[in-house]
Amino acid sequence: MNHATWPARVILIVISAVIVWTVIAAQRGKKLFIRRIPGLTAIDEAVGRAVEMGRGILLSSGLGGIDVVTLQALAICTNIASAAARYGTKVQMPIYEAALLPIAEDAISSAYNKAGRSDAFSSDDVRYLSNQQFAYAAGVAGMIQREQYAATFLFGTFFAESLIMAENANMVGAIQVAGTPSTTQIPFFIASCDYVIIGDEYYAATAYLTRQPTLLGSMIGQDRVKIGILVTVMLGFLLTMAKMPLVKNLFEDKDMPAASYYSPAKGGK
Amino acid sequence: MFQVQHGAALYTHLAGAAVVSVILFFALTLVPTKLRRPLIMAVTFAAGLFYALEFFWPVSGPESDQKNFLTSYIKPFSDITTVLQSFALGLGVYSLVSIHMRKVARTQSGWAYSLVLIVSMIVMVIAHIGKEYIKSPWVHQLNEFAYSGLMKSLDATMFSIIAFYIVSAAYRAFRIRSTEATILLVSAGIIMLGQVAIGQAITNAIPNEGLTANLRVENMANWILKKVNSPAIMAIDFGLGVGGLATALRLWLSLERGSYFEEEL
Amino acid sequence: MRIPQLDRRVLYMLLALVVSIPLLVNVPLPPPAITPPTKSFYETIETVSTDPKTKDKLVIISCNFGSGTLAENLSQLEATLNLIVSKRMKFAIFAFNDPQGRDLGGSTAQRIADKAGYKYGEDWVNWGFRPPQGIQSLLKAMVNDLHGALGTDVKGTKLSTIPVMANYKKADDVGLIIEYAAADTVKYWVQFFQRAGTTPIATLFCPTSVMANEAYPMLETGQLQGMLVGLKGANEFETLMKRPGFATRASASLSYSHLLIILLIILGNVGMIQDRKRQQGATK
Repeated sequence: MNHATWPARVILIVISAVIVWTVIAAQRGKKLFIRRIPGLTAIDEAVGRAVEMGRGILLSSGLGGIDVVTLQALAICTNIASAAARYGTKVQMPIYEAALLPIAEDAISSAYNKAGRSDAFSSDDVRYLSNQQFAYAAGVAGMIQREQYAATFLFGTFFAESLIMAENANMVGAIQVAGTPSTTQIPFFIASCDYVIIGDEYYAATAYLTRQPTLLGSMIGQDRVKIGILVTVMLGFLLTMAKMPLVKNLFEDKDMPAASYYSPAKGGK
Repeated sequence: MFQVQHGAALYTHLAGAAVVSVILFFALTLVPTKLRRPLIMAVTFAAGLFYALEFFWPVSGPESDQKNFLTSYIKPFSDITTVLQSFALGLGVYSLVSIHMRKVARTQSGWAYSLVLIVSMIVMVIAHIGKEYIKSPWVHQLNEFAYSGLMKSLDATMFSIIAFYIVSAAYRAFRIRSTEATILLVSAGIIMLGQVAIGQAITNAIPNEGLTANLRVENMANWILKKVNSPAIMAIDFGLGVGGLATALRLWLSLERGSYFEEEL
Repeated sequence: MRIPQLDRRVLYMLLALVVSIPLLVNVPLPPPAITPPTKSFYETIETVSTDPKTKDKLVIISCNFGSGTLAENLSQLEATLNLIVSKRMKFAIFAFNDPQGRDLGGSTAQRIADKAGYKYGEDWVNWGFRPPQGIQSLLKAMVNDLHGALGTDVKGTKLSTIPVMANYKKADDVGLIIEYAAADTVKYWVQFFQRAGTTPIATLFCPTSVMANEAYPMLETGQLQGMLVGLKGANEFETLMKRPGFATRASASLSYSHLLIILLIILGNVGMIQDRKRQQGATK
């Protein structure tokens, strides 16, 4: 779909309006509840452990460029850096995408400022490694082995390199918290990390950590939209089960003639 | 305005762009502190608005060439994005080289590795860019050695290490500690067997037709992937899609501010 | 007998042996079962190459992988490209995620094309690499103007002057997209190109095994018409074509390493149960 069809236009505008409306309501003081997310509670535990052990913390924002997923990762990392700076623990952040470097540097130095420890920030701690997937993974693995971090936080878009980083951190006994929207990497993180934030918990992370009304409102807005989607899916399911296709598929743009190629009936039996 | 230029016109355009950039740069430094944030918000909004409008604005024209008044500007916008991001590569290289140069200059621990990094980087740049412009065979041989001989092999080696880590992670983490863990382990076993010929051979004796076909390991694996795994991924994707949209809206409309969401607007 | 905890290095050594022995010595293996995604992958190429509406259209071979995933992605590329050239379909190599894809795809295509008597510029072309940062806008621009959006081929020649591109000017002139990737890059084709023209373009995906999970829903929805799942998919495809290659040879390594992992998981669990019983005995 290169241009919006009418149903897509209406539905996207409605979804956006619901989210923005909830954000504004929250900014005006509406009280909102958020459940406990164990993986995010573990961030304090991991920072505390690094402080006790007197070793550093590694933050990685994954392999994404300047996109929504990576900016969210950066937001989470900023919060962790701020907590670490308060206790005087060193934080290092290797960067994959060069364009992200100045943004990450600014974000982490602001986190140090906020914690009143601007003197402790060194621009060398936020460093560009490589925009080659496995060169980056090798670089991060090397940093983990040399610095023997007490805690590692892996947030963002990850591909096959996720296990290289997580297993190396496991080898040095680091406590690990990971979070990614890349569903294919979740199993690897679960096998190697102590805490994993999955699915849309990832987008709830900043709201949970900061409790800012804007972020809480955005999260509640998302949940309302998801409830709407779920109700629509259930309705469609029930109507189809009852052989009452009252609702035409609103989202079909063009039929794919080749779609019938993949049919279970024709499968490889 | 966005046409490809050649010869004198190209240099005139380049000089014009440089002059405009310098004027813009100085103009931005003169903006009062109070106005900086609204300016950033306006630029962010305008940049996002282009893509939003291009997507939402009704299109016209023949079915094979449907466009609106913004569609033809997509390509120049794509080029601008690419150019802006390419400049950032210089920042990355500067960061990497400066850290390692300092390490070498101060002979800090591990300085020799830093030296290897800097030398490798220079050799790779000479070899890979040089092969395009220098006819000499030694540049091609150097490129062959550095790119195909070293870099490709090192890259493949790093990827293959994952296999070893999968073995150690599976051995350590796949334990029957609860009912859920047992279900996970049994499904993983079926998938692993169903994906390879030797696993499939275990149930080869079972006829692949009728109800008994469901007992064949590859069909069980396929069923788990299609009927259990796919819906779970779709459900996660719904949440992620909405989450992504919400974050994008917050950024686009500048509903939050500070260095990455630290302070309220 | 008590099962001891195996050291990490022992596990690594076992895996190295299990992977390398079948590559050095011919180990017999039963043929793989052809799974539905592979079968529909094959059938899609067959249909596109025989359907009068699509058989003369361009095939985009999108190589978004680096040397790290050669074993999987290159096996898939070789196996499928052999079929494409045997059908005398015209194709274009393209890369936008990993710059190595341009060279790896280009050199493989050159080798296979030379064998098949294909001529560069007349039967196939290498569009080269474009940076990933602008790929969404580039694909949108390519829909209506392939020549203008892409500009030149890998050698710097204008696409409009390359004979093979004379009849291929927009998305409607593309009959098939095959994405070879170590990441989820197929989503860009599906979102911005596949259905942007008058008729939808059949799209096939060759991911690494790890990335395949994420793509299964796209098979169900009809956004993908087929998929080769990693090395296993390439092996199935070679079996279907009756043309054994690297994937067939390497599938023994894959088979036995899966068995080793299952065995190690069982051993780990037996050890854990034994430890638990011993601890219970000690507390009693």
